[in-house]
Amino acid sequence: MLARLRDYLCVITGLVLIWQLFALVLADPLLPGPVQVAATIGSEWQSGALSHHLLVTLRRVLIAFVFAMLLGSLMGWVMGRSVRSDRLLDPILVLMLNLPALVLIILLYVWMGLVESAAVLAVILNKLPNVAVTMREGVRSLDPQLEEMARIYRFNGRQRVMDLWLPQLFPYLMAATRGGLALIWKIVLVVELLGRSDGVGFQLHLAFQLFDVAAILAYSLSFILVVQAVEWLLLQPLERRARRWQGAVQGA
Amino acid sequence: MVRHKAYDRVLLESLQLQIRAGERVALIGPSGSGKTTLLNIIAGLDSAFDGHRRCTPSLRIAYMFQEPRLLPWRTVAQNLRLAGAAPNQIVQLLREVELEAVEDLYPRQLSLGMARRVALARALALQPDLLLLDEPLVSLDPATAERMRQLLCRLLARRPGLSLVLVSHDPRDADALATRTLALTPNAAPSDVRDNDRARQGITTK
Repeated sequence: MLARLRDYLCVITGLVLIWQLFALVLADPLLPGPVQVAATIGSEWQSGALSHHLLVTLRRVLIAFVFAMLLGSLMGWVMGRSVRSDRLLDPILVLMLNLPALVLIILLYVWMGLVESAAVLAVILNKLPNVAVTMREGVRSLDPQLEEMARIYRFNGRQRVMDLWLPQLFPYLMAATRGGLALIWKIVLVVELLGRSDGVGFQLHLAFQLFDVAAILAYSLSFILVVQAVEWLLLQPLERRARRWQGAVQGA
Repeated sequence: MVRHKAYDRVLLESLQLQIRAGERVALIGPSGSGKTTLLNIIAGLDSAFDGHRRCTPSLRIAYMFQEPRLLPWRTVAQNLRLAGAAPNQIVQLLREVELEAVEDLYPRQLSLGMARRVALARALALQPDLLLLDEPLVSLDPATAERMRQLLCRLLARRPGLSLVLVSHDPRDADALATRTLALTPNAAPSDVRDNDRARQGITTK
């Protein structure tokens, strides 16, 4: 764990040094150095703007994430369990997978107006098919032998979900979660840039108009930090707990 | 006739098997003779066959599969709890299959012989009327297999009302555990049906 942290810090320090070097050599206002960006983060934090816009964006990410995971898992479940519904839903899935995010966002804004629900719905619909594809694979790989066992030993609905299915689907849920968070926050920024008046995407829009690269980097890096914190504080502990049985080796 | 629809071939011709309470039946035969298929039909897991399966509605069936089929992400104790064992029964159930201090281990920490015995404890946790055993001694080394055979004998002797259907390729298992042996041969009517010395009265086999 400590060794990992050390390696992580080494890489980050190296990247920051290279960045600083380029900034010094080029001496261009369009490539601010790490010190300047850190100062921008500091002043935006002091003014309260950074935390406000971060929280607004984070809320959109969370709502979109929860609904995309729930609906996508449901769709993947239905498609993985029944061949017929797989045949019926597959064309819709392919359409959704290949519909550009931008097209969906523009259409929803045009149809629903520049409102919060249109923004979040656009993000949900963009992520949903990816979750469905991953979960369909997971559901198809459920072990039929354990399914028979659960029938013989009369598992109830709760036991089937918690003890039989979720542990088998966990790696797929984690894959969908990781890919989901990264994809969703990127789409949320586009949605904010095109039609909201708050959030990190909106701030980036303003900074772009002013060619304020320091602000662009300050906001992006801050949000990357938030996603990294979610990974460290939430996802990794959860994963360690769920994978405990795999670490158990022949010892008896 | 047992025609398995998934394979679309006749595995067992006209077979009629009646199992009374407390009766111990062994199905022996080479691989591919339909032993496990017949066991799955008895268990109610397989309905893709031509024929009828009738049993008392309240009949409790426990099935010990050839692979232990324990949930690898649950401890031994949790696996037994899922089959309906009360928390205070777990140590007792494990002691009955001659296991101690394994409650908190995960299945992959057990040897095959131990995992089989946990699976047996799980089958007993159901308090079954009919116990189905699919090759309970296969792939065990001779000493472990002998120990398991004696364990099964003792457990069965302690439960006179428990019916048994045992699948094995080894006639010795049938002699040790069953009162009646049914020999299955591929694609043919069950032949060489014989009752063991200990067979009871009133058993019908056609």
